[in-house]
Order: sequence, then C-alpha cells, then structure tokens
Amino acid sequence: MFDAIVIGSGMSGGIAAKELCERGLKVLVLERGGDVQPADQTDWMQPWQLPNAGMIPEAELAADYPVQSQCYALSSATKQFFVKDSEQPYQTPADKAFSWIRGYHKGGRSIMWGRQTYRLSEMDFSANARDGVGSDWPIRYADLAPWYDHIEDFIGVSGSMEGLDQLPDGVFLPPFELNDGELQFKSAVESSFPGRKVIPGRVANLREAREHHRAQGRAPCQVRSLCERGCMFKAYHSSLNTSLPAAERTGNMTLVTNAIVHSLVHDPATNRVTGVRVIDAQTRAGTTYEAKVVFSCASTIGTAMILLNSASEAQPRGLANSSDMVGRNLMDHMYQLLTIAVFPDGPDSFYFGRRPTGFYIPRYRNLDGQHEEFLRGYGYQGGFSRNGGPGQVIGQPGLIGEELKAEARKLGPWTMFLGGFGEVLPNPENRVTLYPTLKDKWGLPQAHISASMGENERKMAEQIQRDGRAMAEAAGGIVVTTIDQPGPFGLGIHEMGTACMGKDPTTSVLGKWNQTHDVPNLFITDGAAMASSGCQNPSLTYMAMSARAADAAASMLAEGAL
Amino acid sequence: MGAKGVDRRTLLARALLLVGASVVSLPFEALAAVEADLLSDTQRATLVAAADTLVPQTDTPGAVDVGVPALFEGLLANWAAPATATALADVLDRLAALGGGFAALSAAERKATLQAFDAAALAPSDAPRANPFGPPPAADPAYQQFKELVLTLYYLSQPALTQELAYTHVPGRWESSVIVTSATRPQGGPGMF
Ligand SMILES: Cc1cc2nc3c(=O)[nH]c(=O)nc-3n(C[C@H](O)[C@H](O)[C@H](O)COP(=O)(O)OP(=O)(O)OC[C@H]3O[C@@H](n4cnc5c(N)ncnc54)[C@H](O)[C@@H]3O)c2cc1C
Repeated sequence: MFDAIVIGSGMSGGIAAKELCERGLKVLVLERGGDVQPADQTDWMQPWQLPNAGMIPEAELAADYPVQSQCYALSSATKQFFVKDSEQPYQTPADKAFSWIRGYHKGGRSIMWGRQTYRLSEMDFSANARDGVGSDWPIRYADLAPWYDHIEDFIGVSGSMEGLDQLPDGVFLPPFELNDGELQFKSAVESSFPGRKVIPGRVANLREAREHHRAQGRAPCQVRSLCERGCMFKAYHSSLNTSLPAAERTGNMTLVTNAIVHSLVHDPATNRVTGVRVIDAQTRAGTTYEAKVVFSCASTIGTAMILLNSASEAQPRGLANSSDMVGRNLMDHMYQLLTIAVFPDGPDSFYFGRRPTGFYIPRYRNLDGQHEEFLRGYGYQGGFSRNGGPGQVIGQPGLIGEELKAEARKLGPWTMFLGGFGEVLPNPENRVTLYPTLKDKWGLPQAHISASMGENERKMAEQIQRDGRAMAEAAGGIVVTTIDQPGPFGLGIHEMGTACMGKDPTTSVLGKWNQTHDVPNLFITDGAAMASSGCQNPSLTYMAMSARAADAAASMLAEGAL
Repeated sequence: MGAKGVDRRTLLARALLLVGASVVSLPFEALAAVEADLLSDTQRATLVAAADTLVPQTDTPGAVDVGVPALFEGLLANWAAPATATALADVLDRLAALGGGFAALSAAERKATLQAFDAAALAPSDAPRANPFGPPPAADPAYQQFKELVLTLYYLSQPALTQELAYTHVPGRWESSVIVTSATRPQGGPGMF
C-alpha cells in the first residue's frame, strides 16, 4: 500500500511526484511508456550525424506518424519521443480533424516541449464568470501566485520583468535578450500600437544556473536549440532533468514503467478510490496497486479516458462524473496563424548562438472590458533571424556553382516569424468519449475525439492575422507568407479542459484543490483541470496546480481527511 | 543497373574520377546500407556531375568532396518512398540528356547547361505553397527537390558547416548583437532565431 499513486510521469506527474515525496509520502508513479536512457537523447549528434539528414523515411512517416508528423519537433533524431500513430489509434468524426500529439515514455512531453512559460493572470481566472461561459474557476490568481513562484524558482525560467497585469511577472533568471532585428520591431510596434509590448520569450532554460540548480547537476543553457532531442546539460526543465530526480532523491518514489493504467477501483461503501488497475505494456499482465490518494496526471485526454473507463454500478457514467463534464470542454489554442515577413531595412548587425526562445507579444485585446467582436484574446510568439545558408539560395532560379556558394555565405535579410496563439472557449460539445467498439492492442477502448472551433474563434483568427500583418508592415516588413486558418484542433498541443475545475459540483469535476467533487481522495492536476484556456502556453499552470494540490493532499492526509 | 561483379564503391569512384574528385575523404559507410542498385551507371555519373556543378570545389570543398553523391544514394535507399525515388531518378535521366550527355561535358559546358535548366525548372509556379518554411513552388518540383536534397546534404556536412558557414555545435553563450564584418557567416544548423 502506497500513500499516493501518481498516474503519468510527464510535466504534471513529475511535479506531483516530487512534491508528494518531499512531504514524506511513499509515492508510486505509474508510467505507460518505457524508460528513457541517456542514449535516447540525441543532442550530441552533429548535423552531419543525423540519420537521413534528419528526415524520417517517407514510407515510415506515412505509415507510423501521419498525425505526429504535423508537429515541427518530429525528426529522425526525435522520433523515439513520439508515439507511433499506427500503434496508438483514436477516432474522430470524418469532418472534425483532431491532431493528438503525444509522447508515451518516462517524462512524457516534457522532453519535447517548446519550454515557453507564462503565468495566467487574474483576468484569465475571472474570465468565465465575467463572460458567463463555461465553469467559473474556483481559484483566482492569488491562490496560484505562490505556487507559480515555487515552480519557476525550481525549474528555472528566463524572462524579463514587465509589470503587465495580463501577464504577471515571476521569479525569473535573466532573459535571453532580444536581438537587434527584434529591438527595431519592438520600438516600431510599441510606438505605432500603444498598449502592445514585444518582450523576450519567457523560457524554462537556465540562462544562469543558480546554486540550487547546480546542486541538481544542472548547467546553464549552451544556446544550441537542440532541446527537443534532450539535453546533456540538463539546462531546460523536463521531468527527466529536474522533477523526477528530485523525487528520486527523497527515497520515497517508486516508478514503474510500461504500466498502462486501465481504470481506477472505487469502493462505494467508503466512496474512495482504493486502487489502480494496470496492464503491463509488454506482458499484458494485470496488476492492481493500492494507495490512499491518487493523482491523475496522464494528460488531458488520457485522464478523461481513465475516468470514463472506470465506470461502475455506483458511478455508471464514469468515475467522478456525476456532472457529466468528464471528457467535455476540450480546448486547445489556435495555432499556426503565421505571418512571415522580411525586413530589407533591418539593422546591420548579427547575433551569436542559437537562442532557445524568441520574442513574445502578450495579449492586448479585451483587457479592461469587452471591446471586440469576440470574447477573450491572443498573444504571439515569434522571432527574427538572419539565417542565410542553403535556405537563402534554393529559391533563386539559375543560381548554381561558385555564385551559389558565395550567396549562401551571406547573412540573410532579417526575417520575422510571428505566430498567433488564440484562446479557445470551453464548449461542452467539444468532447472526448470512449469509442463503443474499437479497442487498442491492449484491449482498452479507443478515444473518440470530437472538437471544432466556433464562431468566436473564427472572428478572433481573422483579427490575429490582420494584426500580424499590420505589425509587420508598421515595422517596415514585407509579408512573404501568411496562413489564414488555424491548424487542426489539437496541433497547438495545449489540449485541456476535460475534467474542469469549478465551484458547482453539478457543472464541474474538480474543486479548488483539484480534488474531484465526487471522490475525495482523487486529484487531477494535468491539463484536464483547466476551466478556461487563456492564450498563454499552459504547462506552467499545470505544474503550479500540481504542486499546490500535492501540498493540500498531503495536509488532508495528515489530518485524516481523506 | 550496375555492372555485375563491380561493387558500388568502385562504380562511384569511377564516376568521381570524371569530375576529378579525391575519393579519400568520402563517407563510404553511407553506402554500406544501400542494398539494391538504385541507379544506373549513367544516372550515377550524372548525379556526381550535377552535384559537382551545383556546388563545385572552390577555396572550400565541393559537394563531391564531402560525399554528397554517396549520401544521396543513401537517401534513395533508406529515405525515399518508391514514388520519390522514381521522380528523382527521372530528374537524373533528364539531366543526363542535357548537352547530349551531361557527365561528359566540360565543367564550363556543364555549368552553362545546368544553369539554363535550373532557371527554367525553378521558375515560380502558381501552385499553392505546401510548406511555409520551404522554398516557393517551382515549375519543376522534382528538380527542385533534387537540388534541395543536394544542398541540404552539402550544407549539413562538417566541411560546409565549418568552412562555408560558421557552425558550432555548442555556442555556449547568447550574444544578442554582434558587429557584421566581411568575415561574418551564417551560423547554419538548427534553431530558428
Ligand atoms: C513539440 C511540443 C512543444 C510544446 N511546447 C510547449 C511550450 O512551449 N509551452 C508549454 O507550456 N507547453 C508546450 N507543450 C505542451 C506540453 O508538453 C504539455 O502541456 C505538457 O507536457 C502536458 O503535461 P501532462 O503532464 O498533462 O502530459 P504529458 O507531459 O504528456 O505526460 C503525460 C504522461 O502520462 C502518461 N500516460 C498517459 N496515459 C497513461 C495511462 N493510461 N497510464 C499510465 N500513464 C499514462 C504518458 O505516457 C505521459 O508520460 C509542447 C508540447 C510539444 C509536444
């Protein structure tokens, strides 16, 4: 019997495990994927050592990665960190594509993530109440603020203090400064569009390794931009680099890999979860593990599937689902709303290093009330580069030979990449259910994911692209490419909302401590808990909720309240 | 298909001699993985001649010096789907016919011929842009892919990344503003900003 079981070892599970272990609990972490060895990380590979020049064989890509290949981070050097779609099928309606980008292994997607790290603000936590949409968050910014501090300090976040209400500052290491192209853009945007800010992207890479980072064996970021392959310097936050080793050091963690959680065992007499049913991914043997408290951190869709698959006579709609909200309100961020522009009059300077971030434009619409044709708002991630090299010459007809080499040696023009991230509203019809007949190879029901963008999102996407072009042009840019439609639902890889927090147990799944309303010893701290999506990259919020809930659960356990 | 009894290295070495390349520095390991003879002698000779013409030796190594033809054959064997391999082989056939036998032309003739072909093949087309980060759509997408692969292989090689460009695997620091001099080169390698 363990004190606690944490399902999933990714971004949220790693932190939940660390925080529970540090409070003296004996913790079992169940991870459906395999272990990750140092040799699985490929950041040592020089460009000329990349298998097939970084490309996955075309036939393999088509057969095994039709969905994962939509993700920019998939390459021949990272494919070991992505699921094979052929092995992990799911269903969607024919007219509603959903791109479920996943990594099933120790560390989950914290290995490949883009490390952009932003707080939600008071405006985000009160948004549902203000707009009468979705479930009102049972917490406000002040509840989470100390936990944001706690996580930022532990993982290490580089960023600048800006004093913006809509994007609160945090505990930051020095930022990766903007380059000169970005500084010129910043001054043009901030003078042409009062209220907009162009700031260094906040990123979970150690610009400096402080004492407590070095004590974890972490070194400063070497500015290589190889992060999605892993990092031998442990310079960015992942469960492998930070949270799981911290949990391990307490001596309180047991981690079992290849442990696919099938369902939770619920005792109707005590109304407690008493155990977790697991299928061994390799042998298919079944085991039930017991614990006093269970944290589900199997990721937004994974957690919904576990709850739905735990239906019983006492809880026929799925565990902790008296509200019928489990699986509903699936959100993501609108993504891939790109503007690419060149700046012929950019500054005559360059930069050194491959910075692991770029710039960020915090939300500036609907800040102090409702002013737009759509609710909520959006931010942008982007950056300026002068790449030159082969990318510069391939598009020039007739350029070959010595002249081609000479041209490729030149720095390219300053080129801006600007990508909007738009808030998506909670909508109960955007929904994960268990497919009634199709199973995976372990006999578990496949997910059926049905989600689409609505009218609010459509109007917002148009504004994102209008603003992107206007900002590029105001700064002297010539727009060379735009994409007018957001990518498929899911491709923002910020899927969330399938077990929303709320004040009202009839319309939400989780209370203010991420504890299910229905079953007191069951906590959910991955993206499923989100009641609204904000437009900020969400992982920091999942981690802050995980730490806060772990602290609460440990106290409740000590007080005999569970 | 290659002549019986002659291994691929020998064939490639012969083709390389046509363009006067040194065979010492070639990454022949790349060939070990090639199981089927994917290119005819003429296609192979054309590949070498085209790679050499696209990226010749100057004060730095050229595409042939860094082993692009062998690596390209490696991609045909290990990466390309059948339709892609066929389209790329077809490009080689079309190039082979240039000037009545491309590989046999003098270096100057090869350059003039390929330049004219390249200019027509890469003329902009109205096709929708498939990849916002890739090159703009061109009249002859198969040739565009061929050229892109040759350039990618060349600019991923250690000599090109360190002599033509200024790649360092571990920059170790971020400097947000650096003065540009006549010696400044692009950094190459991964990363967008
Ligand atoms: C390329 C990429 C870039 C990204 N960039 C950013 C970014 O810049 N900023 C940001 O905030 N977010 C980013 N994200 C998203 C971020 O990775 C996720 O928000 C985060 O990892 C979610 O945390 P999680 O714990 O919910 O899920 P995960 O990290 O996915 O971990 C879930 C774990 O649970 C395991 N699991 C699932 N089901 C079961 C089961 N039934 N039994 C046992 N174990 C199970 C999985 O194997 C996995 O290890 C990015 C993601 C990707 C892929």
